[in-house]
Amino acid sequence: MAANGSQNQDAPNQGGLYKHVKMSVRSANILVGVLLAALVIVIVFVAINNGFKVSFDTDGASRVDAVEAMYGDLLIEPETPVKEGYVFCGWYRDIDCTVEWDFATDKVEGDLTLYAGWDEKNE
Amino acid sequence: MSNIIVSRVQGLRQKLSDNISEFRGMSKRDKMRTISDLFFNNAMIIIILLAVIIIAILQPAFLSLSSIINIISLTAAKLPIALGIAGCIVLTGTDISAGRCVGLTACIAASLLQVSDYASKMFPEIGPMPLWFVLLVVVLVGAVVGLVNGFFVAKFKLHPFIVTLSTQLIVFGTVLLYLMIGGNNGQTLSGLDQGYLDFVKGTLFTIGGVAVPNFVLYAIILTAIMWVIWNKTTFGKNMFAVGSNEEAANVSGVNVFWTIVGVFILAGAMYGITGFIEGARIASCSANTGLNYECDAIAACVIGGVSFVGGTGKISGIVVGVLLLQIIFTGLTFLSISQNMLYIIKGLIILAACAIDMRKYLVRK
Repeated sequence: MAANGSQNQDAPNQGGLYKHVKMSVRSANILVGVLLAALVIVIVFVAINNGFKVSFDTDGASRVDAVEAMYGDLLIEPETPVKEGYVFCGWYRDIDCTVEWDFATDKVEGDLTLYAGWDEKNE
Repeated sequence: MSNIIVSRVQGLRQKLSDNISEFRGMSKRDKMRTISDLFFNNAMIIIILLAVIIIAILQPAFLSLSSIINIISLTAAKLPIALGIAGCIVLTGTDISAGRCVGLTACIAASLLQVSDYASKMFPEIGPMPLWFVLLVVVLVGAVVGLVNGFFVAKFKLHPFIVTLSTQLIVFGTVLLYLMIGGNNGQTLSGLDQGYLDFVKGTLFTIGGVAVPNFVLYAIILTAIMWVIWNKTTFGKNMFAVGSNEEAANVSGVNVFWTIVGVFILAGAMYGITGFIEGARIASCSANTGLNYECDAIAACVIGGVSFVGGTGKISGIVVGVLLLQIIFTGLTFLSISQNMLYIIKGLIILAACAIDMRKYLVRK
């Protein structure tokens, strides 16, 4: 059984998406070359300027600056934010504050936003 | 079985030595052209493999067992959607509603399979539905989106880019409306039924202490099914005929309308299955689920040799394409390259892969 796809290669082909392309193979070579070079340059550039951005969402409290981290890094706990009428109860992975971020064991595996958890002060 | 393999190997060896002797007999000019063709046609694969080697040297953990199994799992998760889109590309079209369609079906699957006592359950009055029923529902939802896509493409000869762009927006609007239903109120869907999570993410088997999830098996089954559909059925042969030359296919008695509609419905059903798997894999579905999945799938197909010229493509090529793309993106994550940059790289990969595809067409012409 011949592999699929080959059964129609001999049939006249309309050219599909490239129906209206009028270009010599030479120019196509240049185009492909330029695009591949661009791809390699971008990959090298971003590999040099690497680092994931870890931002802290304090939900209206005092601002905590974003930090940069590498793959597999542990984070250093930032200074505790303050918010009037609330008590800070930790940094969470999700906005609903269900999964807490453990600064001792959790490792960075990508861009990350940590959300501050707040308990209302009972006075 | 061993006889078949031996004869296959002998055939390949024969072919290789034929090629080499043919190459020796060429003039210098032809030799140069053959080498440059070989380079250009495989340029993307060469670059990806080079990048992988460099990454593996910089970050040896990239080649650790857990990382390799992670790559295989992610490949399996992205394979069904690529298998669906590939059919649309064989018809010289594409489908950019795929990602949003995965998002919608993932949200539907998750909402029907929340645990009964979850606080903000979308449908508090019903418990978790049976799995087969939910799977059927999401496949049907996907198929309906596919039917709409296919109908407008086949009936009015509208370009699939335009049709699927519209359905992409319509589906996205539907997801946002769907998430507002009942007790959910637009939140992320979580609190999923354990049976559902086990069915998708449960351990298939473990290698060296690293678990391989169940959905790897489902991806293999789907790949096998698609291989049979593409290679062994009349529908598959019609699909290639229509993709290659629609008028010729029509003259030779192929029902072009139903072939196109069928390909889109099949693609939609695949998005439904992807959504069902994604729902449990991510375990917290929101309107953002499935965003840009179609970009990965299209890039994988084009890298894997499914051509926009139409009528060419192999299932094995798609698998290789998805795998290569997953390897490079996992590798770039190991180099701590942020998601924002990955989007730019992804865009360039699609553009370059398309240019290589176009060059192949120009050479043949």
